[in-house]
Amino acid sequence: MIADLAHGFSIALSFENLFYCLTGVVLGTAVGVLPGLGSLAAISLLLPVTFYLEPTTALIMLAGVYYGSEYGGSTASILLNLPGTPSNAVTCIDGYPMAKKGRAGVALFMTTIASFIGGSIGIMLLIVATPVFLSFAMMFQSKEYFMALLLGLIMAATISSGSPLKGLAMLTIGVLVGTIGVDNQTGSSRFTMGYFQLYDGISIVIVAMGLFGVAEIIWSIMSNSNPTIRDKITLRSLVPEREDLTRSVVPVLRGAGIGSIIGPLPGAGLALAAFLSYAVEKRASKTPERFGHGAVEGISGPESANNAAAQTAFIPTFALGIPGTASMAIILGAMMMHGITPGPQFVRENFDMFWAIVASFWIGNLLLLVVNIPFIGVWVRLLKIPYQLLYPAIICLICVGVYSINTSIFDVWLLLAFGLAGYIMRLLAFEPAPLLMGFVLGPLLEDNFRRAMLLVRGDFFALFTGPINTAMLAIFIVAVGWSLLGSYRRRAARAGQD
Amino acid sequence: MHRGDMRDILGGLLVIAVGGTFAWAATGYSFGSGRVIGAAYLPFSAGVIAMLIGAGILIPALFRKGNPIEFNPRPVIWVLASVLVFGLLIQRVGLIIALIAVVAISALGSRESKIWQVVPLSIFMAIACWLIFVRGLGLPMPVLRNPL
Repeated sequence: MIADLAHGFSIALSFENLFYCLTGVVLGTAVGVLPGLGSLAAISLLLPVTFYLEPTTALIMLAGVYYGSEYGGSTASILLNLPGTPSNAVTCIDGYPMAKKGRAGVALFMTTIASFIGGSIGIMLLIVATPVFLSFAMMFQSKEYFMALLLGLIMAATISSGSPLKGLAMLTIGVLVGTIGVDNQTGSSRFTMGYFQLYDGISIVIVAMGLFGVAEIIWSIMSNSNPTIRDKITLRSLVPEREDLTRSVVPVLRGAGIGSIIGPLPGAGLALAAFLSYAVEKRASKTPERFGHGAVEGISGPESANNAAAQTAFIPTFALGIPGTASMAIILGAMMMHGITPGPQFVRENFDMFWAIVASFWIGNLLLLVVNIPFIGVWVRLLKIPYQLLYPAIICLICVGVYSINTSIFDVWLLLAFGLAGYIMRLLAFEPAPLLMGFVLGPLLEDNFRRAMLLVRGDFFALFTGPINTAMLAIFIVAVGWSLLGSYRRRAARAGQD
Repeated sequence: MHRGDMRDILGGLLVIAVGGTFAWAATGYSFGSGRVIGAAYLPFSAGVIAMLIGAGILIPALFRKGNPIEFNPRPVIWVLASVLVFGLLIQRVGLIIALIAVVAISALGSRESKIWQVVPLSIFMAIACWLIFVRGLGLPMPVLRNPL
């Protein structure tokens, strides 16, 4: 394994890969810093650009955007009390009070260090756990794949957030949108309404940019109030006190553990990892009353957790080809666009590529440390750019990006449709993430369903039998039942308060 | 205040409509036999499931009170209009003018926009995108074109 990793490093350290890794993490930090622009939109924005790159290089860059945004996200939380990405929301609770006490620099330093340690532990787990998952995945046939995809999708849609029913609705519609185009098994064109531009299906770039780009911008314009930052972040102000460090050691390690476990679970996502870590630290603390008033454990634990989760989220994506979150679904979509099918064959057949990507994660995290600590002033200045200057620029990039996929105006009209749909979804409190997951994984689901049905000779209920499927079903019922019970209790508690 | 949670009533109806449209359109394709799954099987089932879920969202919403939907048309109209104008202009007059129009129109969506910021930004974006996409990545798209 050491030799494999060393080999991976030798590829990842090539000039080109290093350059794109740096580009990825810098862009990732930037979109993380800026509220109202997520890593999901940024990755889809970059997707058309990566067509011109080697698949390995492309993935190194796109993954860099993904985990880089977790580093940047805490900056806005601390300075503006406004999370840069959803998973940094908890960092507001203690990060912003720290900034009000004039300790913004320390908070920024501690979150960066915590992110680095959490990320590194997550990568180590990724290296150790992927082979285990792989040997598990070897036992998978189409029947098991179908079940894992189906249950994973349902779990992701119900657990992620908000209303489980609405999540399921979005998931189903996503699957439906994914069937648009020529059916690769029967050759009949589905729902194309005579438009030949729809034969190959709708590009994932358009769906993601419409739902997470255009719609998100419309939504952010309304809620943006251009807050001002008073703090001056000097390098000297970054230096933490001894107490900050000693207090953070255990929370960071504990956070990394929590994040590593949460990361691979479908639908759980990085925000849950951060929230869980915060709750654990508050409970474990001897002085829980300090939480909410600038307790350093309240930022270092969660920031370690979400970065660890960001790395371990790659485990099921790489080993099983089943992403747990919408961001991972985009990464999976990127892999498929480059002609790589994730899953057990991916690691076996693209051995070099897998290890190069893993090695690049480490390099990327190291680069992020450099990008974030000495250059923190740059990011703070970026945060001062008013949103009314930023969003027209992003719309330009989205328009040109979508048009460039096929140099087709038809794609621009589709973008318009998905932008409008995404806005309506937000207006009616539907989450767009399950739709994207259904859209990406729907075709895989159908493919495996067909093969499985052939295998079981058309006996639908036989799909639910077999040791692996029974075990997966049992886990699924427990997990979903538990989360539904939780959301029911929360609702009951809220009703009681009213 | 009217009765019912308008947000979920509308949401449920929309989900039913989308699911119903797909399910109905899917009946035009082959369902296949038990073993060989036809083109209609998955979209039809998913469409019916979507309709059921939509009903599950709609029905309880009829019997509870909700908040009115807050809707601010300004950003919606101008941002979508800017995308529309990009589609109309890109092949007629080329990238530069299309992007200047995109910035100008989308900026109308925010109350904070100021003309002395929008003008330089539009020129900057037009040149930046030309440099990145056309010169840098070599994408084939018209840069400046005489519409006549």
